[in-house]
Amino acid sequence: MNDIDSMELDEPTGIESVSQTTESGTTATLEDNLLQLASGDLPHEPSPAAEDAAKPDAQEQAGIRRELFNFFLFGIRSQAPGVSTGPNSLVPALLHRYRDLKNIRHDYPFCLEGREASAAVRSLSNIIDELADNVSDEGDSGARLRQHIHSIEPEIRELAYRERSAGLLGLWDRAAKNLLAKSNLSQEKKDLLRDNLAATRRSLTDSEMIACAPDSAQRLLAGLARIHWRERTNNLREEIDSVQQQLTDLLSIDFESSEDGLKPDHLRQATADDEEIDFDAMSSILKASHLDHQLPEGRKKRIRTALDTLQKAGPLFESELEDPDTLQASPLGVDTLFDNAAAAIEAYNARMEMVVDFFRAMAIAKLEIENRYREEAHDDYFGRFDVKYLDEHELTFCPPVLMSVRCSEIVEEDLNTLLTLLTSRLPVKVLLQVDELFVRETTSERSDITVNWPARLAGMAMATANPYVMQSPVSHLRPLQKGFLDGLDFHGPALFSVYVGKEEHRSGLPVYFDAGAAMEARVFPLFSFAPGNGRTLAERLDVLGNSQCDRDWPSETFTYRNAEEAETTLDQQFTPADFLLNNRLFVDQFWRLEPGGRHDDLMPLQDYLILRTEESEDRIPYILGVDEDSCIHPLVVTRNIVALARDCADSWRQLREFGGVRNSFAIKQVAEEKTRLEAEKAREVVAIKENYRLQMDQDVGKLTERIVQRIAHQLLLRGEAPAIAFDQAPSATPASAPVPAAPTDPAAAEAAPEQAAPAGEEEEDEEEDEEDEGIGALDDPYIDTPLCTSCDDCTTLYPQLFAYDDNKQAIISDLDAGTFRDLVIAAEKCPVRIIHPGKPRSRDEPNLDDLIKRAAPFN
Amino acid sequence: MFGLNSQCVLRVDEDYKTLKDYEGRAARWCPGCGDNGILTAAQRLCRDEQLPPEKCVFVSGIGCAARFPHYMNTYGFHGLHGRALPTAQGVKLHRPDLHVFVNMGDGDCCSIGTAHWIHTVRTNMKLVTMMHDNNIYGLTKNQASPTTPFGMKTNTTPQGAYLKAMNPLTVTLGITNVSFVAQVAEWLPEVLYDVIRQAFHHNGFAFIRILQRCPHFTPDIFSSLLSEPKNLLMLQHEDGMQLSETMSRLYKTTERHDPADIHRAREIAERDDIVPIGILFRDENIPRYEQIVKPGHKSTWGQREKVLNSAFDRFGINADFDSANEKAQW
Repeated sequence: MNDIDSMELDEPTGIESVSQTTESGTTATLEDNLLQLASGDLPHEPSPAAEDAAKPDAQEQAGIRRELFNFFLFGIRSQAPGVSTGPNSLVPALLHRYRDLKNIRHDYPFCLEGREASAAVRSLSNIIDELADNVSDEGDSGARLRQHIHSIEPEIRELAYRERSAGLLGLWDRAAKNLLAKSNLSQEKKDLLRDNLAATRRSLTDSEMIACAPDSAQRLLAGLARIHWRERTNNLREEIDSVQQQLTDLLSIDFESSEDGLKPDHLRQATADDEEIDFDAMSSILKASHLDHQLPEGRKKRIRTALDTLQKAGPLFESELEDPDTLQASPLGVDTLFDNAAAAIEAYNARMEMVVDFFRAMAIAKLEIENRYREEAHDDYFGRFDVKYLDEHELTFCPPVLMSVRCSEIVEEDLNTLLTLLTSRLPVKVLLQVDELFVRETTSERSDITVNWPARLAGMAMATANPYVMQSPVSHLRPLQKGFLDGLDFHGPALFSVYVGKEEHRSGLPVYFDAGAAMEARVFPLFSFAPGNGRTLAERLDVLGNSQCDRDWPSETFTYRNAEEAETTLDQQFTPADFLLNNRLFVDQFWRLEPGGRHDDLMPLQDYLILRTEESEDRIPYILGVDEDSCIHPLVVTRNIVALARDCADSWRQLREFGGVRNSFAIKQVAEEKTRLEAEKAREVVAIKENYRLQMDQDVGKLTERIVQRIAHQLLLRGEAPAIAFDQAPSATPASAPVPAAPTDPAAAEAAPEQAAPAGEEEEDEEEDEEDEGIGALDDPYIDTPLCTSCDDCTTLYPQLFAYDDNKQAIISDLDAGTFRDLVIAAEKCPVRIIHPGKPRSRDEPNLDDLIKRAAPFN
Repeated sequence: MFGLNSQCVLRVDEDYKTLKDYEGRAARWCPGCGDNGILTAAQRLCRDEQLPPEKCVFVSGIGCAARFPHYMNTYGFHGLHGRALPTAQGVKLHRPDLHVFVNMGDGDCCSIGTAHWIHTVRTNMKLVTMMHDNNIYGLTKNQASPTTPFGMKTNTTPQGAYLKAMNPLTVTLGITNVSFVAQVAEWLPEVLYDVIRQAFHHNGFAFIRILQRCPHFTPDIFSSLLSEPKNLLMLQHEDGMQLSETMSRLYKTTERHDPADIHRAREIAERDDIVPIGILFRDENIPRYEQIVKPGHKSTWGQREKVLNSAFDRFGINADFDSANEKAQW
């Protein structure tokens, strides 16, 4: 055992789950950096030892029941034995497995890159995967490099979440430093890790990484708007440059032929400063011949004005801001987010005015360039030119105005203006950051939870059928990206309602899960409403991004260890109660029960919600929460929570129906159609049966008649052989059927292919033999490496000549390090005869003839 | 939930392990020994599965093959003759998170360790057992083992072995709860690795008999199999062993055998005329002992004291006899 004592016992980081992977039978190749959670991480019920402590008797049970009902109905909590207060960093049962956000591959953090808006969002996981995919080495060093690349991902994610936004390269450096600092690897392996990470870093470009935070949505919107606008105006910018150039050319040509242009000094400047040229003479000659071709003053003025206007409108179509980080950039900047409707409208008007001026100037410029401007016709036209004269295409070049408001900061007047905006035709894109979904209304008698109604503005806006509407939690980056781009593309107003949560209300879970939970719990479902997609609701509304759309609540299998330590599963549904558990405002609506406080009347909320009112009267609903020590606790909820859950279910069902999922009208119509079709088919069946019966009767009648006729005929013939053939059935004439020409000797015909077959096989064998001979006849020595049994014979005998590959199977490492004799001896020694010495490379070796003879059996 | 699942959880071991990471001391088996090939296959398995060395245990008994743990850079237990299996069972029972491998020779397993072999098969704990069968006691210099062929001269059978050799395959296939039986040869590295890998993923006790040459005492015992590939019967199946194209060209005597068919497995195992190679039998649904008998929670000191007190109260001089009796319902 001494050998084993000396081995390295340093435990590498992040190994806890590997054993379970193999238990479940997955192959651990490099892809398996994505591993199953270890069962050691499974949440568990409290141990029975604690439960034994006090079994309440009947009287105590009644007391507990009374306490529980007091809490359920009135939210009154007493300090009854066995019952403790407060959820204390509990998370919903289904979210426990995702506590460690840094190890979870999701869309955040991300960066915005490139010039194509639809492909601009790149998540950290995408970047890492791309780096790993680009490793071309398939051997051990490649696999190690890929592993190193993957190992830095959680570190970067953790740093990005801590700092919210930072450059990728800076994050990479710090993550690499952290990784190396906490690594327990040997110095040699650490160096390798450092080198690998440094080498990989060189292929990266620096971009700002944005983590999931309340402000992510507005940063994403601003960034996408910038890229989107640049993409849209790309061609226009080129056109402006070209028009400006041509106008400038017109003016400069005019100047060149003007009196000033023909002055000797200007001529000297315009040409080379040559002493041999007499510019005075040149000036006088040119003046005599060119002065007649001057542009009229009116035209010159128009061209100058057009040029000025184009110049002024320039910033409108420039996408690059001087400082892209500042949200309060120039009012012309397309990524400027206004915080109130009045400012947004003002900005829109200002921009629209510029756009009108711009297109007027463009039209004049084009006419001037082609010299088609006729004052008598065009002066009046351009004098009246305003927004009405712009066509659909030109209107798309009025940059959308972005607006961002927080739900909790909205006041009533703002709402009115907002609604007016949303029902207008203005391209104002409103980002509504929903931070409060529910509010408390507390009076002296009671405390209710009500919906913060601006949070449902998206649904109301959809009802007006005018704006583009998208509702999504901030956690769902892809729907956000698609929604923002579709909204920016839409010619009218757009409302992006994004749930971001409120920092001071969140308890245990990070923003990502808090927001995701809002969607899963159906309190903030994902949907998009695009009036531009078509005329029907089916074309416009999309709710299918929600999970398990056909159910009231999404459900997932919850795996845990029960009190007896056995692995148990449970179909757990995610309800609004689970979502509210993460909100400090509603902490008094949950009551964590200790084992002693349990009662038989308790029932899971998901089951409670499907009961009818009279059935649920005696029951008290609870949900499951898991604490930081992975211990599962039932949490009794109040009737406020129950009412809220029912309300959310109702509004979800309604939205789902609009979206075409389990639509009650459709179901009703299908049922009616089914009944109608069934009745129709039943009638058809009856008619067919009736027809069949009639036909049968008829046929039987005819047949009987014919039989009687035949019998009568036979009786009349008397003595002739009976030849009853009722009908000329096809089976009655087998002899007349054409018989295929039979082979003269079937046995021989069958034998022929059999004879042919072995001949073919032999040929194949011969070919194979030839092939084998071909391989065997090679002059160079080689080893059948895959057949090597790693017996150490050749490598011990000639360590310079032979070596092991990554799989510890022999290869010829250096042919120059051995002689033909060495190869022959190794071939003779090899127990599995896989070394083939080939032919000697040098004729100078002694006893060559003998060696060639000895090598022959191995070649 | 959230479009995520447990597969989205990234747990990366920062250290990618190569074969070198699993290599212990330099192997001191004789050059040309078949044990080398088995060692390489085991190291390849660990490397390909990226098993943390500290989560692996190789347990052995006594014999040449039993030197195996010394050459692996993992935990190991070089135990007593014939007792590798009970040791491995103990390790697995108390540390179910560890990957436990057992290396035994034919003497270790089929002679002194027979009782353990039979009962370990029956308990069906998740272990990978490699039985290195060179048909001889090599370490102690050429004594007949239970698998020595009839008539072979050894130091203990100078007139030739008296009895027909034992067939470890038929024995194992006859034991209650058998769940994985395979036979391979160390000179077929590809097949050897594949079968060990499948054994590793098997949900229960995997028994692999590995035909292995001893370069000193039985160098030619398998020469007919080496020189004549047709003497090996390759058992192929989608659920069992699958040969590569090269191997299929070399080894043409094959049979499509479903490892779920135990009756056919027994028939194949009994054949004397040909040597089967591959997975003879596999059943993933046999209950495992370590799952049935889980170490329960230890009772607390308070609970133990309560039980003891109520027991003592039964004999206490001043105790109320009836009430003590009532309490003593344990």
